[in-house]
Amino acid sequence: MSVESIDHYLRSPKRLAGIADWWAGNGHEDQRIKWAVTIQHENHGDLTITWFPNSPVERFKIVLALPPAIWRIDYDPNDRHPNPLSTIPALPRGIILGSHFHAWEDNRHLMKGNMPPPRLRFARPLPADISGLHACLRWFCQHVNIALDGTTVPPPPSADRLL
Amino acid sequence: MNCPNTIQQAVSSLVGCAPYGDGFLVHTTCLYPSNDVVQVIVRGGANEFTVSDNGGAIAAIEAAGVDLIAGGKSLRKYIQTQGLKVERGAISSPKVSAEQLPVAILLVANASQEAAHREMESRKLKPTRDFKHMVETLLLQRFPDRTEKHLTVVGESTKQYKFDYAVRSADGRVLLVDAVTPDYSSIASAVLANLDVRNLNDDHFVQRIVYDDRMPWKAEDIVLLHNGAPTIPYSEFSHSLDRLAA
Repeated sequence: MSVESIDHYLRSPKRLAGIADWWAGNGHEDQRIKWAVTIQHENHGDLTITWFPNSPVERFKIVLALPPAIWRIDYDPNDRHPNPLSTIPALPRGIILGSHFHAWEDNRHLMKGNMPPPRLRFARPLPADISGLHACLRWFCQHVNIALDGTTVPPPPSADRLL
Repeated sequence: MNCPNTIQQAVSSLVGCAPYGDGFLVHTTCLYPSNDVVQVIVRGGANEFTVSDNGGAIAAIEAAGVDLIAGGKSLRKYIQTQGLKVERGAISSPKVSAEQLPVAILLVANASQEAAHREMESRKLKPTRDFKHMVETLLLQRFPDRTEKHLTVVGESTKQYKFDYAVRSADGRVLLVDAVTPDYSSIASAVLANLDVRNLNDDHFVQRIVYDDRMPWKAEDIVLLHNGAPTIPYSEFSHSLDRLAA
């Protein structure tokens, strides 16, 4: 696997396979939904949404992984993310406050050998007009060339505790 | 000499505290592997508090595309000597006094950070499960009714071997597939099993070793694999399947 092959993968038209549903994740009170990503009916990677139903604010992650992850949205108004000091000029230099995304294009230079970088250290703030799970998923899929037609996202689970 | 305002402001901007559900969200100076700031939740009041990473370590690991099947159990080794615990996937402190609260915040934040960094380092070396899953997914998509997992074959030495996958063809041949990653035990077991079965000279077995070409390989290890059975890089496996399992 090379930088160019991942670039090509991201440019290739992709779909989400099958009918997915939420299940309890391995983490702390999280819920997951996962689809296999296909190119011409062959499985190449997966897309996972992790939802935190007990969070007092809307909070989720969307991850495209081969694995490892090559594109991710961290949706959380309380998040903080500093980019490395060696940041490329177009990226924010201060601490990003709130929701942000880690794009392959901003992290591909971290690739060593033939493995994608396991850490997507560089991020940008999520555009202010992209808000909520469905808008984020559409925006994310547009950027990574995944067609969502025919894919249904079941409503995310509600909080399972009062406090 | 007083600390200059610029530096004081920079330092104070790094940490903060805000209401969050039934507790307070505290920003720390620790960073997860992808540079996201470690945040902890402090609950309680008066003179009794608990501190939790709110599942941040596991979320950080899994956001990197790593499935942490064992969940919170994987994190225990990072917290036991610090007097912390793992509960429902979150690293947390026991109940502490106001005097102990700063220490509890420091320990939870650092344990969360360390757990995420070290788990990701160790997972990098163990891609076997993900690779087998990829091979399995491909086989089941192409041959859903003809793919078997862990088919046991008795080799020429009479020793039994479990092959990762077997695909049965219409003419009775069986394609035996082992999925291999570049670590010694994975290579050695695949070569041994394939050699012993090959020595049967049974034409109805077609053997192939699929290796994970996303990973760096030594040339001599590929040659070693080839001593067991013909090898196929994963990136070409899909193209080879129709011919092999026809």
